[in-house]
Amino acid sequence: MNIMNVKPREPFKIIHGGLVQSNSSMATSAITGATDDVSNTSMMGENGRLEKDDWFDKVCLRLADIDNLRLGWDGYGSDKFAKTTVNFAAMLLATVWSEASALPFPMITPMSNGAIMIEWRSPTHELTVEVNSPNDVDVLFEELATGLVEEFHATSNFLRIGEALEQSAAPARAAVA
Amino acid sequence: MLDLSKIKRPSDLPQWERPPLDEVAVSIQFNDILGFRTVHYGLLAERLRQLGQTLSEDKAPIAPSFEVFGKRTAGPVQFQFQAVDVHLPRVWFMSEDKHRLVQVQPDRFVYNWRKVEGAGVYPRLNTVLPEFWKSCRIFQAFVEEQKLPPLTVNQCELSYFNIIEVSDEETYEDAFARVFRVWKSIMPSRLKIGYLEPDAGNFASTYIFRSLDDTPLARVHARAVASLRQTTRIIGFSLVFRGPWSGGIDMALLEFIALGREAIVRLFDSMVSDQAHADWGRRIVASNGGSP
Repeated sequence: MNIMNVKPREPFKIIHGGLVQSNSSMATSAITGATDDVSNTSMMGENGRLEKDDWFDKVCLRLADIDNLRLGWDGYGSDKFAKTTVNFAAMLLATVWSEASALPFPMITPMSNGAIMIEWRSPTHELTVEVNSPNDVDVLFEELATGLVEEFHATSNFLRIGEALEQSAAPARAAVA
Repeated sequence: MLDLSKIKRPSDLPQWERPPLDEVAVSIQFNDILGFRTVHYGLLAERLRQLGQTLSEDKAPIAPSFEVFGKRTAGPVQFQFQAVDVHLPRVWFMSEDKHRLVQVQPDRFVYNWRKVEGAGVYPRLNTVLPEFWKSCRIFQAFVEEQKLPPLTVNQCELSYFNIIEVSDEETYEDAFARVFRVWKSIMPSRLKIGYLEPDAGNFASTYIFRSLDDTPLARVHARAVASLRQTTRIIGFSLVFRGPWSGGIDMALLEFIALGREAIVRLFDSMVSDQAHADWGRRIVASNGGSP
């Protein structure tokens, strides 16, 4: 094997607060030459940034694992995961990061039907998010003390998921306060 | 058959006689077409010949991207998945004169109109949208014929790419100030030794397009970048309307794209300076709606 040809795998690129432009242009290279970060020597906001980077790194690794699953990965002939679904799950997680960061890191699990399940558990709530495909997300939110369950469907607006995460983390936040 | 004349252009939407527009792209992104293979590109090329798309080129695939929304205060966080299926390229199907382009990959269909080496007159969306529609229907029919999974659109996009030339007498900074209303030079009045000369600037901003009940429908990305085209200094100014779409490839999709045109034109209108408007011949053609 020619090791010179082996490139390190870089499954995801994280652009914090970045602005991703359309790349459908025939002349993309001519007009999108700017880089978002001129320098990485700043220590500004380092703690928050590191915490965020760690969280995103975990998301990347877990989703890269799912992306790498081969045909028949579950022993029952299931398909490989659609990259669009994996990418959409990444976007969902990125969108609710600030609300989710107060909770333990979620379980991210591949499902035989091609969906990706994301589960958060707190002492008071359980939130299960099933990303079936882009714009198709089923959510189950349970209050453990009362057994009250809320089910809803989301497409591209994850505001309610963020609120559910905030509710889940509220007792922990109150205890800290 | 769709009646595209039902898509009305707002009567107060400005037009420019000499817009700096260099390229327009209408794009749909869909769930991966499982089973799409290299051989399908060859078969599709035969179908697209009837539209005059006779030239083809292989390109690297475009990574999937999604517009999603959360808390208002969260700000945009983009997370770009890089591991696209590199074993299948994106393929360009170009017209002989290279002004019109169809781009296909297993999760995306794009129709472009562009100038070639600065030449060509933008035929406006009332021409581009039907051309997109026609070629997209051919692609959709092809997918059905080949017994591939039907197209499940998850996002659509309208992009305008403007090329603004910087004159020999101007610095990039001068050109930004000439063209953009929002551009302001920040010049420290005095340094101990020497001075700061404005060199080159870029800016980027995004806007969430919300319905009147506050539902987020799409984002508009505006970006201006100092750049070069061959040896000519230019400002590349792109405006991209991108929104999730869960419906079919139908009249509603075209109306959504036309809404994107309105958002882009109104944003362009508000960002550009009076001088640039005068240079490019801004006018409002009053009509009873008109075609797109």
